[in-house]
Amino acid sequence: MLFNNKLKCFLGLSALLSIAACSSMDADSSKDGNWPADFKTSEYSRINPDIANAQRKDSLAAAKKTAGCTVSTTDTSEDVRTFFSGDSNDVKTLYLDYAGLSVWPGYEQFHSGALYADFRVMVISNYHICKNTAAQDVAYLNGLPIDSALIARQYMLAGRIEGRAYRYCLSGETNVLQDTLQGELSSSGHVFSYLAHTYCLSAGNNQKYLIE
Amino acid sequence: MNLKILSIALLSFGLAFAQGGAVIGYYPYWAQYSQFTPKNVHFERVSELHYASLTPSADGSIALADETDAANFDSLVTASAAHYVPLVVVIGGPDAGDAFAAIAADESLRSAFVKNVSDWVDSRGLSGVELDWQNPAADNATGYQALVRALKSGLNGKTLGAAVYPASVEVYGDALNEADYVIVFVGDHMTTDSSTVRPNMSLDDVKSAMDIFASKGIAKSKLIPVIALSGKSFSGATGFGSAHQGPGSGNDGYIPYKDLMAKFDTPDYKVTFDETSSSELAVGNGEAIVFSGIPSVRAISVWIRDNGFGGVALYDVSEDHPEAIISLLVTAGQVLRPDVDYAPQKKK
Repeated sequence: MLFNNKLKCFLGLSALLSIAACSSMDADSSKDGNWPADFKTSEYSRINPDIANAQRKDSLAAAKKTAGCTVSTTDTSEDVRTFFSGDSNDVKTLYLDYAGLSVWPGYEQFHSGALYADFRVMVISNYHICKNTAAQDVAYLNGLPIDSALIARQYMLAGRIEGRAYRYCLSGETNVLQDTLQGELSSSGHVFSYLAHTYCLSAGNNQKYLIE
Repeated sequence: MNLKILSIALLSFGLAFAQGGAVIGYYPYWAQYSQFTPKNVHFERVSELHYASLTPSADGSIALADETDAANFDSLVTASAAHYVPLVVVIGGPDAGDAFAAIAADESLRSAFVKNVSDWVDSRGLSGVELDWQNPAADNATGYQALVRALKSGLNGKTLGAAVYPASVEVYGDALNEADYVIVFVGDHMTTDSSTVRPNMSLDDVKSAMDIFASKGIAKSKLIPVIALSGKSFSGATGFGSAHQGPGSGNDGYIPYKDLMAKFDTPDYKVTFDETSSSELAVGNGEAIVFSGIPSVRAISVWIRDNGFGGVALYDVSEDHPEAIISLLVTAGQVLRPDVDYAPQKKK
Protein backbone atom coordinates (compact mmCIF):
# COMPACT_ATOMS: atom_id res chain seq x y z
CA MET A 1 0.00 0.00 0.00
CA LEU A 2 2.69 2.42 1.04
CA PHE A 3 4.71 2.16 -2.10
CA ASN A 4 1.67 1.73 -4.27
CA ASN A 5 0.51 5.19 -3.31
CA LYS A 6 3.96 6.52 -3.79
CA LEU A 7 4.90 4.82 -6.97
CA LYS A 8 1.84 3.84 -8.89
CA CYS A 9 1.29 5.72 -12.10
CA PHE A 10 -1.44 5.39 -14.59
CA LEU A 11 -1.13 4.70 -18.23
CA GLY A 12 -2.36 7.01 -20.88
CA LEU A 13 -2.31 6.07 -24.50
CA SER A 14 0.14 3.25 -24.48
CA ALA A 15 0.75 0.77 -21.72
CA LEU A 16 4.16 -0.20 -22.85
CA LEU A 17 5.39 3.30 -23.51
CA SER A 18 3.97 4.42 -20.21
CA ILE A 19 5.77 1.68 -18.36
CA ALA A 20 8.95 3.29 -19.50
CA ALA A 21 7.84 6.82 -18.86
CA CYS A 22 5.70 6.91 -15.75
CA SER A 23 7.30 4.98 -12.96
CA SER A 24 8.74 7.08 -10.20
CA MET A 25 11.17 4.23 -9.80
CA ASP A 26 12.40 5.16 -13.28
CA ALA A 27 12.48 1.49 -14.06
CA ASP A 28 14.20 1.85 -17.41
CA SER A 29 17.24 3.60 -16.08
CA SER A 30 20.33 1.71 -15.02
CA LYS A 31 19.80 -0.46 -11.98
CA ASP A 32 21.80 -1.22 -8.92
CA GLY A 33 23.01 -4.72 -8.18
CA ASN A 34 19.54 -6.21 -7.85
CA TRP A 35 18.92 -5.72 -11.58
CA PRO A 36 21.17 -6.08 -14.63
CA ALA A 37 22.64 -2.78 -15.74
CA ASP A 38 20.68 -2.89 -18.99
CA PHE A 39 17.39 -3.97 -17.40
CA LYS A 40 14.38 -2.19 -18.85
CA THR A 41 11.02 -2.81 -17.24
CA SER A 42 9.17 -2.27 -20.52
CA GLU A 43 11.15 -5.00 -22.26
CA TYR A 44 10.88 -7.36 -19.30
CA SER A 45 7.13 -6.78 -19.21
CA ARG A 46 6.80 -7.40 -22.94
CA ILE A 47 8.68 -10.69 -22.66
CA ASN A 48 6.73 -11.72 -19.55
CA PRO A 49 3.21 -10.39 -20.15
CA ASP A 50 1.70 -12.49 -17.37
CA ILE A 51 3.08 -10.03 -14.83
CA ALA A 52 1.27 -6.97 -16.14
CA ASN A 53 -1.77 -9.06 -17.01
CA ALA A 54 -2.07 -10.07 -13.40
CA GLN A 55 -2.54 -6.42 -12.58
CA ARG A 56 -5.15 -6.01 -15.30
CA LYS A 57 -7.07 -9.08 -14.22
CA ASP A 58 -9.61 -7.56 -11.84
CA SER A 59 -10.46 -4.61 -14.06
CA LEU A 60 -10.79 -6.84 -17.08
CA ALA A 61 -13.03 -9.29 -15.25
CA ALA A 62 -15.29 -6.45 -14.16
CA ALA A 63 -15.50 -5.09 -17.71
CA LYS A 64 -16.36 -8.53 -19.11
CA LYS A 65 -19.02 -8.96 -16.46
CA THR A 66 -20.51 -5.59 -17.31
CA ALA A 67 -20.53 -6.50 -20.99
CA GLY A 68 -22.50 -9.56 -20.00
CA CYS A 69 -21.18 -12.13 -22.43
CA THR A 70 -18.16 -14.33 -23.00
CA VAL A 71 -16.27 -15.91 -25.83
CA SER A 72 -15.57 -19.62 -25.88
CA THR A 73 -13.57 -21.88 -28.12
CA THR A 74 -16.72 -23.10 -29.77
CA ASP A 75 -18.16 -19.64 -30.23
CA THR A 76 -18.59 -18.71 -33.87
CA SER A 77 -21.00 -15.93 -33.16
CA GLU A 78 -21.11 -12.66 -35.01
CA ASP A 79 -19.17 -11.08 -32.19
CA VAL A 80 -16.27 -13.46 -32.65
CA ARG A 81 -16.27 -13.14 -36.42
CA THR A 82 -16.36 -9.38 -36.19
CA PHE A 83 -13.60 -9.40 -33.65
CA PHE A 84 -11.20 -11.58 -35.61
CA SER A 85 -11.94 -10.05 -38.96
CA GLY A 86 -11.26 -6.58 -37.67
CA ASP A 87 -8.03 -4.67 -37.62
CA SER A 88 -5.41 -7.38 -37.89
CA ASN A 89 -2.74 -5.27 -36.28
CA ASP A 90 -4.83 -4.99 -33.15
CA VAL A 91 -5.57 -8.71 -33.11
CA LYS A 92 -1.84 -9.25 -33.48
CA THR A 93 -1.19 -6.90 -30.58
CA LEU A 94 -3.58 -8.86 -28.39
CA TYR A 95 -2.01 -12.09 -29.57
CA LEU A 96 1.61 -11.16 -28.95
CA ASP A 97 1.64 -8.43 -26.32
CA TYR A 98 -1.24 -9.40 -24.07
CA ALA A 99 -1.88 -13.11 -24.53
CA GLY A 100 1.87 -13.70 -24.69
CA LEU A 101 1.57 -16.14 -27.57
CA SER A 102 4.83 -16.25 -29.42
CA VAL A 103 4.44 -17.18 -33.06
CA TRP A 104 1.96 -15.09 -35.01
CA PRO A 105 0.05 -17.46 -37.31
CA GLY A 106 -0.75 -14.81 -39.90
CA TYR A 107 -3.76 -12.64 -40.63
CA GLU A 108 -5.42 -15.10 -42.95
CA GLN A 109 -5.72 -17.70 -40.21
CA PHE A 110 -7.98 -15.36 -38.30
CA HIS A 111 -9.83 -13.88 -41.22
CA SER A 112 -10.73 -17.34 -42.50
CA GLY A 113 -12.00 -18.46 -39.13
CA ALA A 114 -9.61 -21.41 -39.20
CA LEU A 115 -8.59 -20.81 -35.60
CA TYR A 116 -12.03 -20.36 -34.09
CA ALA A 117 -11.83 -23.70 -32.30
CA ASP A 118 -8.14 -23.31 -31.48
CA PHE A 119 -6.86 -22.93 -27.93
CA ARG A 120 -5.23 -19.70 -29.01
CA VAL A 121 -8.65 -18.18 -29.53
CA MET A 122 -9.49 -19.06 -25.97
CA VAL A 123 -6.31 -17.40 -24.75
CA ILE A 124 -6.99 -14.25 -26.71
CA SER A 125 -10.59 -14.26 -25.58
CA ASN A 126 -9.30 -13.66 -22.07
CA TYR A 127 -8.48 -10.16 -23.30
CA HIS A 128 -11.60 -9.59 -25.37
CA ILE A 129 -14.67 -7.81 -24.07
CA CYS A 130 -17.59 -8.97 -26.12
CA LYS A 131 -18.98 -6.60 -28.72
CA ASN A 132 -15.70 -4.73 -28.70
CA THR A 133 -13.57 -4.56 -31.78
CA ALA A 134 -9.97 -5.61 -31.39
CA ALA A 135 -8.99 -1.95 -31.54
CA GLN A 136 -11.36 -1.18 -28.66
CA ASP A 137 -9.93 -4.07 -26.66
CA VAL A 138 -6.38 -2.83 -27.21
CA ALA A 139 -7.37 0.71 -26.29
CA TYR A 140 -9.09 -0.53 -23.13
CA LEU A 141 -6.15 -2.68 -22.09
CA ASN A 142 -3.67 0.08 -22.81
CA GLY A 143 -5.66 2.38 -20.58
CA LEU A 144 -5.60 0.14 -17.52
CA PRO A 145 -3.24 1.20 -14.74
CA ILE A 146 -0.02 -0.71 -14.42
CA ASP A 147 2.44 -0.41 -11.57
CA SER A 148 5.70 -0.72 -13.46
CA ALA A 149 7.73 -0.64 -10.26
CA LEU A 150 5.91 -3.79 -9.22
CA ILE A 151 7.05 -5.49 -12.40
CA ALA A 152 10.64 -4.58 -11.65
CA ARG A 153 10.23 -5.88 -8.10
CA GLN A 154 8.90 -9.16 -9.42
CA TYR A 155 12.16 -9.61 -11.31
CA MET A 156 14.21 -8.83 -8.22
CA LEU A 157 12.21 -11.08 -5.88
CA ALA A 158 11.42 -14.00 -8.14
CA GLY A 159 11.92 -13.55 -11.86
CA ARG A 160 15.71 -13.66 -11.87
CA ILE A 161 15.70 -16.62 -9.46
CA GLU A 162 13.19 -18.45 -11.66
CA GLY A 163 15.39 -17.77 -14.68
CA ARG A 164 13.05 -15.44 -16.52
CA ALA A 165 14.52 -13.65 -19.53
CA TYR A 166 14.70 -9.90 -19.00
CA ARG A 167 15.46 -8.79 -22.55
CA TYR A 168 15.62 -10.08 -26.10
CA CYS A 169 18.84 -11.74 -27.23
CA LEU A 170 21.40 -9.81 -29.18
CA SER A 171 23.39 -11.19 -32.06
CA GLY A 172 25.71 -13.93 -30.90
CA GLU A 173 23.91 -14.58 -27.62
CA THR A 174 21.93 -17.64 -28.64
CA ASN A 175 24.57 -20.22 -27.74
CA VAL A 176 23.61 -21.84 -24.44
CA LEU A 177 19.97 -22.84 -24.00
CA GLN A 178 18.61 -22.35 -20.52
CA ASP A 179 16.91 -25.74 -20.75
CA THR A 180 20.32 -27.39 -20.68
CA LEU A 181 20.81 -26.14 -17.14
CA GLN A 182 19.51 -27.79 -14.00
CA GLY A 183 15.78 -28.02 -13.40
CA GLU A 184 13.83 -26.06 -10.87
CA LEU A 185 14.15 -28.48 -8.00
CA SER A 186 17.04 -30.68 -7.03
CA SER A 187 16.48 -34.11 -5.56
CA SER A 188 16.79 -32.64 -2.05
CA GLY A 189 13.75 -30.50 -2.63
CA HIS A 190 15.78 -27.32 -2.49
CA VAL A 191 15.21 -24.68 -5.09
CA PHE A 192 17.63 -24.47 -7.96
CA SER A 193 18.32 -20.79 -8.34
CA TYR A 194 19.07 -19.22 -11.71
CA LEU A 195 20.48 -16.24 -9.85
CA ALA A 196 24.05 -16.88 -10.91
CA HIS A 197 23.23 -16.03 -14.52
CA THR A 198 20.97 -13.80 -16.57
CA TYR A 199 18.91 -14.84 -19.57
CA CYS A 200 17.61 -13.40 -22.80
CA LEU A 201 14.74 -14.49 -25.03
CA SER A 202 15.29 -15.26 -28.66
CA ALA A 203 12.66 -13.49 -30.70
CA GLY A 204 13.25 -16.07 -33.42
CA ASN A 205 12.40 -19.27 -31.57
CA ASN A 206 11.06 -18.04 -28.19
CA GLN A 207 13.78 -19.95 -26.34
CA LYS A 208 15.74 -18.59 -23.41
CA TYR A 209 19.52 -18.38 -23.62
CA LEU A 210 22.33 -17.68 -21.21
CA ILE A 211 23.66 -14.12 -21.36
CA GLU A 212 26.44 -14.48 -18.83
CA MET B 1 -30.29 -30.24 0.19
CA ASN B 2 -31.39 -26.69 0.81
CA LEU B 3 -29.17 -23.66 0.33
CA LYS B 4 -28.35 -23.28 4.00
CA ILE B 5 -27.22 -26.84 4.37
CA LEU B 6 -25.24 -26.55 1.15
CA SER B 7 -23.50 -23.45 2.45
CA ILE B 8 -22.56 -25.19 5.66
CA ALA B 9 -21.25 -28.10 3.67
CA LEU B 10 -19.16 -25.83 1.49
CA LEU B 11 -17.75 -24.17 4.57
CA SER B 12 -16.74 -27.42 6.16
CA PHE B 13 -13.08 -27.94 6.65
CA GLY B 14 -13.12 -31.48 5.42
CA LEU B 15 -14.40 -30.51 2.02
CA ALA B 16 -11.88 -27.70 1.69
CA PHE B 17 -9.07 -30.09 2.42
CA ALA B 18 -10.35 -32.82 0.20
CA GLN B 19 -9.89 -30.53 -2.77
CA GLY B 20 -6.17 -30.00 -2.19
CA GLY B 21 -3.63 -28.67 0.26
CA ALA B 22 -4.68 -26.01 2.70
CA VAL B 23 -3.41 -22.47 2.61
CA ILE B 24 -4.39 -21.07 5.98
CA GLY B 25 -4.06 -17.37 6.64
CA TYR B 26 -3.90 -15.94 10.14
CA TYR B 27 -5.73 -12.71 10.87
CA PRO B 28 -4.52 -11.30 14.21
CA TYR B 29 -6.39 -8.66 16.17
CA TRP B 30 -3.38 -6.36 16.07
CA ALA B 31 -3.75 -5.98 12.32
CA GLN B 32 -6.09 -3.11 13.18
CA TYR B 33 -3.12 -1.08 14.39
CA SER B 34 -1.54 -1.16 10.93
CA GLN B 35 -4.85 -0.09 9.36
CA PHE B 36 -5.44 -3.59 8.00
CA THR B 37 -9.12 -4.55 8.17
CA PRO B 38 -11.28 -7.35 6.72
CA LYS B 39 -11.82 -5.34 3.54
CA ASN B 40 -8.10 -5.76 2.84
CA VAL B 41 -8.28 -9.56 2.93
CA HIS B 42 -7.92 -11.36 -0.40
CA PHE B 43 -10.22 -14.24 0.39
CA GLU B 44 -9.45 -16.15 -2.78
CA ARG B 45 -5.87 -16.56 -1.58
CA VAL B 46 -6.75 -18.70 1.45
CA SER B 47 -8.61 -21.93 1.96
CA GLU B 48 -9.32 -20.97 5.55
CA LEU B 49 -8.87 -17.95 7.83
CA HIS B 50 -7.86 -18.18 11.47
CA TYR B 51 -8.68 -15.21 13.65
CA ALA B 52 -6.39 -14.63 16.62
CA SER B 53 -7.67 -14.68 19.17
CA LEU B 54 -9.90 -15.53 22.08
CA THR B 55 -8.37 -15.50 25.56
CA PRO B 56 -9.43 -18.11 28.12
CA SER B 57 -9.73 -17.39 31.83
CA ALA B 58 -9.08 -19.88 34.60
CA ASP B 59 -12.84 -20.17 35.29
CA GLY B 60 -13.46 -21.47 31.77
CA SER B 61 -14.83 -18.26 30.33
CA ILE B 62 -13.57 -16.79 27.07
CA ALA B 63 -13.36 -13.31 25.57
CA LEU B 64 -11.82 -11.55 22.62
CA ALA B 65 -8.17 -10.81 23.30
CA ASP B 66 -8.80 -7.22 22.28
CA GLU B 67 -12.38 -5.94 22.47
CA THR B 68 -11.44 -2.94 20.35
CA ASP B 69 -11.26 -5.34 17.43
CA ALA B 70 -14.81 -6.65 17.94
CA ALA B 71 -16.25 -4.71 15.00
CA ASN B 72 -13.50 -5.97 12.70
CA PHE B 73 -14.15 -9.50 13.86
CA ASP B 74 -17.85 -9.15 13.10
CA SER B 75 -16.96 -7.85 9.64
CA LEU B 76 -14.60 -10.75 9.14
CA VAL B 77 -17.37 -13.22 10.01
CA THR B 78 -19.67 -11.67 7.44
CA ALA B 79 -17.04 -11.34 4.71
CA SER B 80 -15.71 -14.85 5.20
CA ALA B 81 -19.18 -16.32 4.85
CA ALA B 82 -19.81 -14.22 1.75
CA HIS B 83 -16.66 -15.62 0.17
CA TYR B 84 -17.30 -19.20 1.35
CA VAL B 85 -14.04 -19.17 3.30
CA PRO B 86 -14.20 -21.11 6.58
CA LEU B 87 -13.38 -18.95 9.59
CA VAL B 88 -11.77 -20.55 12.61
CA VAL B 89 -11.06 -18.75 15.86
CA VAL B 90 -7.82 -19.29 17.74
CA ILE B 91 -8.14 -19.73 21.50
CA GLY B 92 -5.05 -19.12 23.58
CA GLY B 93 -1.80 -17.30 22.94
CA PRO B 94 1.44 -16.67 24.79
CA ASP B 95 -0.23 -15.66 28.08
CA ALA B 96 -2.90 -18.33 28.25
CA GLY B 97 -0.82 -21.18 29.67
CA ASP B 98 -1.89 -20.79 33.30
CA ALA B 99 -5.58 -20.53 32.42
CA PHE B 100 -5.37 -23.61 30.21
CA ALA B 101 -3.57 -25.53 32.92
CA ALA B 102 -6.33 -24.75 35.41
CA ILE B 103 -9.13 -25.55 32.98
CA ALA B 104 -7.59 -28.75 31.69
CA ALA B 105 -6.90 -30.15 35.15
CA ASP B 106 -10.52 -29.96 36.30
CA GLU B 107 -13.31 -31.89 34.61
CA SER B 108 -16.05 -29.42 35.50
CA LEU B 109 -13.97 -26.50 34.26
CA ARG B 110 -13.21 -28.39 31.06
CA SER B 111 -16.89 -28.96 30.50
CA ALA B 112 -17.72 -25.33 31.18
CA PHE B 113 -14.93 -24.18 28.87
CA VAL B 114 -15.98 -26.48 26.06
CA LYS B 115 -19.60 -25.36 26.35
CA ASN B 116 -18.56 -21.71 26.31
CA VAL B 117 -16.42 -22.29 23.23
CA SER B 118 -19.09 -24.30 21.47
CA ASP B 119 -21.77 -21.70 22.19
CA TRP B 120 -19.50 -18.86 21.08
CA VAL B 121 -18.62 -20.57 17.81
CA ASP B 122 -22.19 -21.67 17.09
CA SER B 123 -23.67 -18.27 17.80
CA ARG B 124 -21.38 -16.69 15.21
CA GLY B 125 -21.57 -19.40 12.61
CA LEU B 126 -17.86 -20.13 12.71
CA SER B 127 -16.30 -23.27 11.26
CA GLY B 128 -14.29 -24.26 14.30
CA VAL B 129 -11.55 -23.47 16.77
CA GLU B 130 -7.79 -23.78 17.01
CA LEU B 131 -6.43 -24.60 20.44
CA ASP B 132 -3.25 -22.57 20.95
CA TRP B 133 -1.84 -23.71 24.28
CA GLN B 134 1.74 -22.62 23.79
CA ASN B 135 4.53 -24.86 25.04
CA PRO B 136 2.62 -26.91 27.63
CA ALA B 137 4.88 -28.56 30.20
CA ALA B 138 5.25 -32.25 30.94
CA ASP B 139 2.93 -32.08 33.94
CA ASN B 140 0.21 -30.69 31.68
CA ALA B 141 0.17 -33.80 29.51
CA THR B 142 -2.88 -35.50 31.03
CA GLY B 143 -4.85 -32.29 31.13
CA TYR B 144 -3.87 -31.28 27.61
CA GLN B 145 -4.97 -34.56 26.13
CA ALA B 146 -8.22 -34.50 28.08
CA LEU B 147 -8.91 -30.98 26.87
CA VAL B 148 -8.36 -31.90 23.22
CA ARG B 149 -10.72 -34.86 23.52
CA ALA B 150 -13.33 -32.78 25.34
CA LEU B 151 -13.22 -30.12 22.65
CA LYS B 152 -13.48 -32.68 19.90
CA SER B 153 -16.57 -34.25 21.39
CA GLY B 154 -18.12 -30.95 22.41
CA LEU B 155 -17.84 -29.01 19.17
CA ASN B 156 -20.64 -30.87 17.46
CA GLY B 157 -18.65 -31.72 14.37
CA LYS B 158 -16.99 -28.35 13.99
CA THR B 159 -13.35 -28.23 13.04
CA LEU B 160 -10.77 -28.64 15.79
CA GLY B 161 -7.22 -27.55 15.11
CA ALA B 162 -4.31 -27.80 17.50
CA ALA B 163 -1.31 -25.50 17.41
CA VAL B 164 1.74 -27.44 18.54
CA TYR B 165 5.34 -26.66 19.40
CA PRO B 166 8.22 -29.06 18.80
CA ALA B 167 9.66 -28.56 22.29
CA SER B 168 6.44 -29.93 23.79
CA VAL B 169 6.06 -32.91 21.50
CA GLU B 170 6.03 -35.42 24.35
CA VAL B 171 3.10 -33.63 26.01
CA TYR B 172 0.57 -34.04 23.23
CA GLY B 173 0.39 -37.81 22.98
CA ASP B 174 -1.94 -39.43 20.52
CA ALA B 175 -4.65 -36.91 21.37
CA LEU B 176 -3.43 -34.92 18.39
CA ASN B 177 -4.97 -37.48 16.10
CA GLU B 178 -8.33 -36.41 17.54
CA ALA B 179 -7.79 -33.01 16.00
CA ASP B 180 -8.80 -32.36 12.41
CA TYR B 181 -5.42 -30.80 11.77
CA VAL B 182 -2.26 -29.95 13.66
CA ILE B 183 -0.53 -26.65 13.04
CA VAL B 184 3.19 -26.88 13.68
CA PHE B 185 4.91 -23.71 14.85
CA VAL B 186 8.33 -24.03 13.30
CA GLY B 187 9.46 -21.00 15.29
CA ASP B 188 12.20 -18.44 14.81
CA HIS B 189 15.56 -20.07 14.28
CA MET B 190 17.41 -16.78 13.88
CA THR B 191 17.16 -14.71 17.05
CA THR B 192 19.27 -12.18 18.90
CA ASP B 193 20.65 -15.11 20.88
CA SER B 194 22.17 -16.58 17.71
CA SER B 195 25.86 -15.73 17.54
CA THR B 196 25.88 -15.47 13.76
CA VAL B 197 23.27 -14.89 11.10
CA ARG B 198 21.48 -17.91 9.67
CA PRO B 199 18.15 -18.38 7.87
CA ASN B 200 15.20 -17.81 10.15
CA MET B 201 12.92 -20.47 8.72
CA SER B 202 14.56 -22.55 6.05
CA LEU B 203 13.14 -25.56 4.28
CA ASP B 204 15.32 -27.76 6.46
CA ASP B 205 13.87 -26.11 9.57
CA VAL B 206 10.38 -26.88 8.32
CA LYS B 207 11.33 -30.46 7.51
CA SER B 208 12.77 -31.02 10.98
CA ALA B 209 9.71 -29.65 12.74
CA MET B 210 7.31 -31.68 10.62
CA ASP B 211 9.31 -34.85 11.04
CA ILE B 212 9.19 -34.50 14.82
CA PHE B 213 5.41 -34.85 14.76
CA ALA B 214 5.17 -37.29 11.87
CA SER B 215 7.53 -39.61 13.75
CA LYS B 216 5.09 -39.62 16.68
CA GLY B 217 2.41 -41.15 14.51
CA ILE B 218 0.46 -38.00 13.74
CA ALA B 219 -1.13 -38.37 10.32
CA LYS B 220 0.94 -36.36 7.83
CA SER B 221 -2.20 -35.13 6.11
CA LYS B 222 -3.07 -33.30 9.34
CA LEU B 223 0.30 -31.59 9.77
CA ILE B 224 0.63 -27.98 8.60
CA PRO B 225 3.67 -25.75 9.24
CA VAL B 226 3.42 -22.06 10.04
CA ILE B 227 5.51 -19.78 7.84
CA ALA B 228 6.23 -16.30 9.16
CA LEU B 229 5.70 -13.42 6.78
CA SER B 230 8.01 -11.08 8.69
CA GLY B 231 11.63 -10.56 7.85
CA LYS B 232 14.11 -10.10 10.69
CA SER B 233 16.95 -7.60 10.60
CA PHE B 234 20.26 -7.82 12.44
CA SER B 235 22.49 -4.82 12.89
CA GLY B 236 26.10 -5.01 11.80
CA ALA B 237 25.71 -8.32 9.96
CA THR B 238 27.08 -8.72 6.45
CA GLY B 239 25.60 -12.07 5.46
CA PHE B 240 25.01 -15.65 6.56
CA GLY B 241 27.65 -16.68 9.09
CA SER B 242 28.53 -13.13 10.09
CA ALA B 243 28.20 -11.71 13.59
CA HIS B 244 25.56 -9.15 14.54
CA GLN B 245 24.86 -6.60 17.23
CA GLY B 246 21.19 -7.24 17.84
CA PRO B 247 18.03 -6.10 16.08
CA GLY B 248 18.34 -3.79 13.10
CA SER B 249 15.63 -1.68 11.48
CA GLY B 250 11.93 -2.35 11.85
CA ASN B 251 9.86 -3.01 14.94
CA ASP B 252 12.46 -4.57 17.21
CA GLY B 253 13.97 -6.02 14.05
CA TYR B 254 10.70 -7.37 12.61
CA ILE B 255 9.73 -6.08 9.17
CA PRO B 256 6.53 -7.23 7.41
CA TYR B 257 7.18 -8.80 4.04
CA LYS B 258 5.15 -6.12 2.28
CA ASP B 259 7.29 -3.39 3.87
CA LEU B 260 10.54 -4.95 2.72
CA MET B 261 9.73 -3.71 -0.78
CA ALA B 262 10.22 -0.09 0.22
CA LYS B 263 13.70 -0.96 1.40
CA PHE B 264 14.59 -3.04 -1.60
CA ASP B 265 13.57 -0.34 -4.05
CA THR B 266 16.57 1.65 -2.93
CA PRO B 267 20.07 0.79 -4.11
CA ASP B 268 21.08 0.32 -0.47
CA TYR B 269 20.26 -3.38 -0.21
CA LYS B 270 21.64 -6.31 -2.14
CA VAL B 271 19.02 -9.06 -2.24
CA THR B 272 20.17 -12.63 -2.77
CA PHE B 273 18.86 -16.16 -2.55
CA ASP B 274 20.87 -18.90 -0.87
CA GLU B 275 20.42 -22.10 -2.82
CA THR B 276 21.79 -24.33 -0.07
CA SER B 277 19.26 -23.30 2.54
CA SER B 278 16.56 -22.18 0.09
CA SER B 279 16.25 -18.86 1.85
CA GLU B 280 16.46 -15.16 1.13
CA LEU B 281 18.91 -12.59 2.45
CA ALA B 282 19.25 -8.84 1.99
CA VAL B 283 22.36 -6.97 3.06
CA GLY B 284 22.79 -3.22 3.21
CA ASN B 285 22.55 -0.10 5.36
CA GLY B 286 24.67 -1.75 8.02
CA GLU B 287 22.38 -4.72 8.56
CA ALA B 288 21.32 -8.10 7.20
CA ILE B 289 17.67 -9.09 6.77
CA VAL B 290 16.62 -12.73 6.66
CA PHE B 291 13.17 -13.37 5.23
CA SER B 292 10.93 -15.84 3.45
CA GLY B 293 10.32 -14.81 -0.12
CA ILE B 294 8.73 -16.28 -3.20
CA PRO B 295 11.31 -19.00 -3.98
CA SER B 296 11.56 -20.28 -0.41
CA VAL B 297 7.80 -20.30 0.16
CA ARG B 298 7.41 -22.14 -3.13
CA ALA B 299 10.08 -24.66 -2.11
CA ILE B 300 8.35 -25.31 1.21
CA SER B 301 4.96 -25.63 -0.48
CA VAL B 302 6.30 -28.09 -3.05
CA TRP B 303 7.89 -30.19 -0.32
CA ILE B 304 4.66 -30.15 1.69
CA ARG B 305 2.63 -31.19 -1.34
CA ASP B 306 5.02 -33.87 -2.52
CA ASN B 307 5.34 -35.45 0.91
CA GLY B 308 1.65 -35.70 1.71
CA PHE B 309 1.38 -33.04 4.38
CA GLY B 310 -1.78 -31.00 4.86
CA GLY B 311 -0.75 -27.60 3.57
CA VAL B 312 0.82 -24.43 4.93
CA ALA B 313 -0.30 -21.66 7.27
CA LEU B 314 1.02 -18.14 6.80
CA TYR B 315 1.38 -15.72 9.66
CA ASP B 316 -0.13 -13.29 8.99
CA VAL B 317 -2.30 -12.07 6.12
CA SER B 318 -1.78 -8.40 6.99
CA GLU B 319 1.94 -8.72 6.30
CA ASP B 320 1.60 -10.25 2.85
CA HIS B 321 1.98 -8.09 -0.23
CA PRO B 322 -1.39 -7.03 -1.64
CA GLU B 323 -0.31 -7.55 -5.25
CA ALA B 324 -0.81 -11.12 -6.45
CA ILE B 325 2.39 -11.05 -8.45
CA ILE B 326 4.57 -11.00 -5.36
CA SER B 327 2.12 -12.28 -2.75
CA LEU B 328 3.39 -15.18 -0.65
CA LEU B 329 -0.15 -16.45 -0.09
CA VAL B 330 -0.53 -16.68 -3.85
CA THR B 331 2.89 -18.31 -4.16
CA ALA B 332 1.82 -21.08 -1.76
CA GLY B 333 -1.60 -21.31 -3.35
CA GLN B 334 -0.24 -21.80 -6.85
CA VAL B 335 1.43 -24.97 -5.57
CA LEU B 336 -1.19 -26.23 -3.13
CA ARG B 337 -4.42 -24.91 -4.68
CA PRO B 338 -3.52 -24.68 -8.34
CA ASP B 339 -7.11 -24.62 -9.54
CA VAL B 340 -7.75 -21.23 -7.98
CA ASP B 341 -7.57 -18.31 -10.39
CA TYR B 342 -5.08 -16.00 -8.69
CA ALA B 343 -3.85 -14.35 -11.87
CA PRO B 344 -3.50 -15.22 -15.53
CA GLN B 345 -0.68 -17.61 -16.18
CA LYS B 346 1.98 -17.05 -18.76
CA LYS B 347 1.15 -18.61 -22.13
CA LYS B 348 3.71 -19.74 -24.62
